[in-house]
Amino acid sequence: MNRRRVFTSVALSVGLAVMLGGAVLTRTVPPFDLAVDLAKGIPQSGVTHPITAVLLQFRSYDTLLEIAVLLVAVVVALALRDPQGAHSAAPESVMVDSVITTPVLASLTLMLLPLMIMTAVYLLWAGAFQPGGAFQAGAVLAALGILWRVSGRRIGPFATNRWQHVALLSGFAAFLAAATSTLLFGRPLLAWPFSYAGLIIVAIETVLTVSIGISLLGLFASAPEPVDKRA
Amino acid sequence: MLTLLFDVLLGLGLVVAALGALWSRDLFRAVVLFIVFGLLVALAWIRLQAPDVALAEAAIGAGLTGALLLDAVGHLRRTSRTEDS
Amino acid sequence: MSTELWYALVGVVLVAVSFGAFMAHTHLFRRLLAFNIMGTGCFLILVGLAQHERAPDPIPQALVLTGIVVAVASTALALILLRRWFAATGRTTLPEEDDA
Repeated sequence: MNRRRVFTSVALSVGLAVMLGGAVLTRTVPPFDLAVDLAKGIPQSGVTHPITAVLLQFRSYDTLLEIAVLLVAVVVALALRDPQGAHSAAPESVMVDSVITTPVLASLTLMLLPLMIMTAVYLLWAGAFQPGGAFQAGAVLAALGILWRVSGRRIGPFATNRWQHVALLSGFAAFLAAATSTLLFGRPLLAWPFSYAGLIIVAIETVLTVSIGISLLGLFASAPEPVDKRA
Repeated sequence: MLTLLFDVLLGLGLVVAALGALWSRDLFRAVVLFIVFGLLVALAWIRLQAPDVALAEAAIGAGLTGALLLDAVGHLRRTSRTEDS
Repeated sequence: MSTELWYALVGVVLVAVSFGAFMAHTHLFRRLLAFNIMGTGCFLILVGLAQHERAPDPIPQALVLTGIVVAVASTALALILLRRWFAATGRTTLPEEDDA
């Protein structure tokens, strides 16, 4: 690494720190406080926890686009899979590289399977009134899938099976369907009626959890095989 | 006073972990320090009174990203000595 | 200085340090690590500034939650691209870096 590169990097880094630090320290406080308006709107949102209300009622457009980004990432990852490698349709090909073959991991994964599913369901349900929600539950499910895969059992590849495609797609499809269904009733996009909002939010979060878990697992499982494993 | 000390130490620990993750010779060690960084950031989120974000950061930011990066490091299987120009 | 402002400044330092590392390294994996740490620093600035001298604010926290998921999706995709590049060319740097 040559000195000129290091010097310019350090200089740019220090300059950025000074500028950003100055901006952070001299910021002007905005005259409004959104948190106060949010607290007034929480009772009408169908859930009690403010973050879940923000994610799925007040800023649900951001969450919809986030699920779309996740889906696009999974689709691109599946498109980049190696056609001759472990992701071909041959059922005998196993992920040889990421497997840790100890009996402890295998039996521990079996024991953790029901516990992690229960944790994910609890996090999903508890997100309505305390910290939790769809993303945390989906992450626990994805972690379970990764453990399952690393201990040697096969989940995926996610490119061949039609049901896996449905599972990947279902989260975004359900959310989009719910979002646009409000248009049918003359309301703006994503503006759920307050009387049904709690039910809709729980239903969408459930589908989201499964979809997020499978998408994150699909992103982990679509990694290409190492070079020296090929012919 | 004690919480101030905790915040200062946690902030310093964050910066040190980040520097270690960015400038380690060995890629595996860099990823391990990145996971440590993620867990310390989860503590910072707790101090910022954001428990949801702490849960998500620990699970997704440290856990899932760490697993992905470790998988990639095992794939690449080289140290930085031969790579950095 | 409140605790939130302190963490916002820690975020500033993280952004600056990881930006410097991004500029200095040519190895794509290290650049990805730097990018991730930069994102985390931005999240700290976002929540730290919003909650400085104010009550805990759920809106930037929800934005950061969204950001964490988008960051992991982008990191996973970047890793797949990196591994395909490595499998195709055997290098972990981009070709234009070799001229530097």
